[in-house]
Amino acid sequence: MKHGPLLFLGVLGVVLASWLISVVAPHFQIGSEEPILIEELGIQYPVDRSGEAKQGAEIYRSLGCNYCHSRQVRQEPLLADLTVTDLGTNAVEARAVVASLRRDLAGVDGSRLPAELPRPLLADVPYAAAETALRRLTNAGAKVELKLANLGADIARGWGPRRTVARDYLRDHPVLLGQVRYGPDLANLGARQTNATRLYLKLYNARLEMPGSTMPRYPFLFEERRLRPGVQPSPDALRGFGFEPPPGVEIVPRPEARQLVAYLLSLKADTLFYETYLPRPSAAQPTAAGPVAATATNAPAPNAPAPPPQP
Amino acid sequence: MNLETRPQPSAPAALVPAVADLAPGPEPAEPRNGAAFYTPIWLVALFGVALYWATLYVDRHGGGFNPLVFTPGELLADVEARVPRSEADALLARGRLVFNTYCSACHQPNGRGLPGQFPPLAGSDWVLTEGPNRIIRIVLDGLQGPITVNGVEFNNVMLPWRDQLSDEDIAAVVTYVRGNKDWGNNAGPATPAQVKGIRAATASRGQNWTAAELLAIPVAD
Amino acid sequence: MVLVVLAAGWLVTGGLLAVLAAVKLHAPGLLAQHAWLTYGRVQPAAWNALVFGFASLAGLALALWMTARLSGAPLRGGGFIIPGALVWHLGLKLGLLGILAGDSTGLEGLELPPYASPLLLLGYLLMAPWALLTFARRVEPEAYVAQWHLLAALLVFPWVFAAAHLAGVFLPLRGVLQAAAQAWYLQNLQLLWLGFLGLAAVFYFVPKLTGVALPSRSLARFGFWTLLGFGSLAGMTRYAGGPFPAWMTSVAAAAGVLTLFGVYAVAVNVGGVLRGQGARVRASVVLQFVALAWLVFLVAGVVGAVNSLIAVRQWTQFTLLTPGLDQLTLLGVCGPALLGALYFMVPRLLGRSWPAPALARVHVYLAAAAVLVGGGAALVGGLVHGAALNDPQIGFIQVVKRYLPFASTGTLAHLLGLAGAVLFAFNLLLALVQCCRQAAQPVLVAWTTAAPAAAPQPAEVKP
Repeated sequence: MKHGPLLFLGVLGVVLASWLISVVAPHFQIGSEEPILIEELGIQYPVDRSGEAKQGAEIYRSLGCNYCHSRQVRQEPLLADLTVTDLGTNAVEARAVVASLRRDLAGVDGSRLPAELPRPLLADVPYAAAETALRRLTNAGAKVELKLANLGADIARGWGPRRTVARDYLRDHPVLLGQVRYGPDLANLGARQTNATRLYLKLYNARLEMPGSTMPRYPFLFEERRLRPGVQPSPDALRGFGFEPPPGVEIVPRPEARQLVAYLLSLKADTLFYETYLPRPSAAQPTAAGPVAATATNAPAPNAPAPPPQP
Repeated sequence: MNLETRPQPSAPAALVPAVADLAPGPEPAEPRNGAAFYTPIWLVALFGVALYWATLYVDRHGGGFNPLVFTPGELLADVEARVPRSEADALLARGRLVFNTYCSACHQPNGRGLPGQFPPLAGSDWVLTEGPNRIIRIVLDGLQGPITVNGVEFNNVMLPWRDQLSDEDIAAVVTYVRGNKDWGNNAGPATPAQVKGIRAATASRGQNWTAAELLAIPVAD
Repeated sequence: MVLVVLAAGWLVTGGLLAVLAAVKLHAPGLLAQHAWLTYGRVQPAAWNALVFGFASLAGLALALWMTARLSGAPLRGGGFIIPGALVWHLGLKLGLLGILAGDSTGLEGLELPPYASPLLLLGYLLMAPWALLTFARRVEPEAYVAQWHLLAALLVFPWVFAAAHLAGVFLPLRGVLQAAAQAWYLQNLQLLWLGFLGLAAVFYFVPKLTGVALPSRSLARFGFWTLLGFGSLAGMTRYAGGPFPAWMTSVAAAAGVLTLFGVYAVAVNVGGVLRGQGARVRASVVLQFVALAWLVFLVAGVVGAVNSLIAVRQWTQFTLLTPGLDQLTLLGVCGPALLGALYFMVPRLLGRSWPAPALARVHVYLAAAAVLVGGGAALVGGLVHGAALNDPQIGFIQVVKRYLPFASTGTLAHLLGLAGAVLFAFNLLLALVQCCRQAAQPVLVAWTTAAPAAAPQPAEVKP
């Protein structure tokens, strides 16, 4: 490489190209996304946070919560199991459809199908294919059950009803996705933990409730007040859930703690819209969007995830 | 830089004092690019194969470069397939929005109207006709005067929406009203093309319809 | 010399902070009552101190020194370099205090508060262009392999630093695009700034001290461009499965795998030089450091490439491996390479030998042990952590119990690294004191031209 300018331009060109691909191209794709109107709820999602929660976001950032907690739920490409529960009244046509779906089972006419259809009929097929098969079978009068085979560990842990997408973060600044899970994911904390006192206790000392937790204590978010006779104890003092303050004092959250908890309670990424629908009745994970995808299966298959181990 | 002090590559290690690099003094010459100019051909071939693999990999996991596909390995079809069927019909979803914005004040969110004032849409014989010809005209230019709906007479004025609503909006709201299963309606959809055609055909009208005029128009083309 | 002294000081500071952060990860009760010292603040402070305090300053020192030597032209702009270093130093100090006080921007890698990062850039612009100008006036027309990497690093850094801070902090992009800019920045900072500084030292000192030329210049060129091109794109693997359109992460994953070609080229070229040079490596502390950096670069390169595949990433994402790989690049590749370079440069700049060469030898072993322990813990711990995270049957507190031993082992690695840093700083201090005494100059600032280099480097001795 004798030519300095060549090296100079080459390096700059390469980095410029990677900047264009990694940041500018996505900016043109999703950089102008706007909150979406969810009619059933009459809200613009993501919902704007209250002033207190916005201040809490600053506390979250300044304490570096994102160095231990991620805020993103992952999901694998969905696969589905399809089971025929009833061939229906027009069994001949339904059998013909089954035969065309599973050519290994019988000839195209379907007359030589085994009496007992395998359960599931289609296992671990991509969701779009399963859905097409479902539509064809339903049109032929059969009753079909569609069950998701893999939702991934994050969803099974109860960290969210669905994956997170770019639109979930439109109201966040800065967007703190987190890279490590020394602690649990917080994308949906507000949906699974609605009790502010328990969050206060976690911040005060996470090991009260969860021995062995590595979460730091944040005593500086709380005020230790000496109880004096004749002075009313603060109504906000931490109590309950097995918490015993040291004798003669009460532990009162400071404004910072209030703001942080307000922010944590506002963390929800469970509303469903175009990019995020899951073909799953909402019963297993109560979601804000009400009737989710019950219409996608004519025999809803509750695919309840394991209950969240702990918040 | 003293080229003479360059140690021979074969110099025994013993001649190199252990701390030579940690003290100033004679040091090896500056390295220069070797004359060797050699890249194994198999490496270049492998690089080509790897580039091809990379395109396949992006093709398989990239979701077709669509900004709405977030899970690597899925395609837009997979995302679309999960959108609930009732929502999938974009006209229906849009129609509900239009209805709730412009129509529900009079006809009520449940489509039953108000007795004596606003006629019902749910189960209405004017709505559930074979085709949407008449109802599209009503939405475009409004209606005035007596009209009998399901045997009950109403006499009021409906505003025209020709200038407020686009073809898509009118097609959507007509589709929503005619096909709203919650109201018990189950008539076919209207298309933006139909609305466009009627809008053009009645462009010079400029006044509300009357029931008698409408009854002269065939319900379907 | 200022750069070296500042770098050493930051190395110790950063090492201390890193140890503190690592300890806090498994002993959460420690020093909990101080908001300044909570994990979420100490951790980024440590990282920034090591990257911008130690690695970048030492790298700049190496860059200026090496450019002057290899170009055969005197270094220009000496009057700007020391103020530049001081501005940088001041900016960093302000930034770290800001982070500890809670002013961090929150984006990993871009934590420096908005009032500090422009100072760093200003300091950089006072220092680095002189290396480029010197290169432009080189006597030797042919640029050497090490110089390619050095120049690429020098060119990339301000551009990446400024672009990412603009997109993430000053004129923030919308939503997750901030995180995309941050991932791009971290990747480029680690590979094209820290990694290339380390590789520059490797490509310079290995052939120089062994006296053997690189086997293939064209292979080096191939490796350089593949590392540059594909490595620069691979940042988004960090957020595979995250809230980004799938094509972003899959393009990054494919690019990440393609960096293997660059890693292979480095392996073959440097390996060809080092083959059969065992005795020489054993004899030279500098070579040992540089060879260590080279080995770690290969391991980190292969692990990083494999780790960028989406299927692997699903396992290892969010585990100890993610910060582990970042630290391996910083403390395993860039760190040893620059330390080796400093061990070579300082005596030539001061005109005297290291006062305690034995300490340098101990430092090598400490550094190697630290990298081995830390890298091993991150790799194995990452796999264990990931296996537990991806099994929803394992409650989260059990996940914590499984990764905790590896996190404690990480602390040991940081302690070893800190011990080595203290030895280095002690040695440097001793050298400076001796130098001062001999010069018998009561003034605070001593300009020495003792360097045997073609270009005399100004050296400032702080009291």
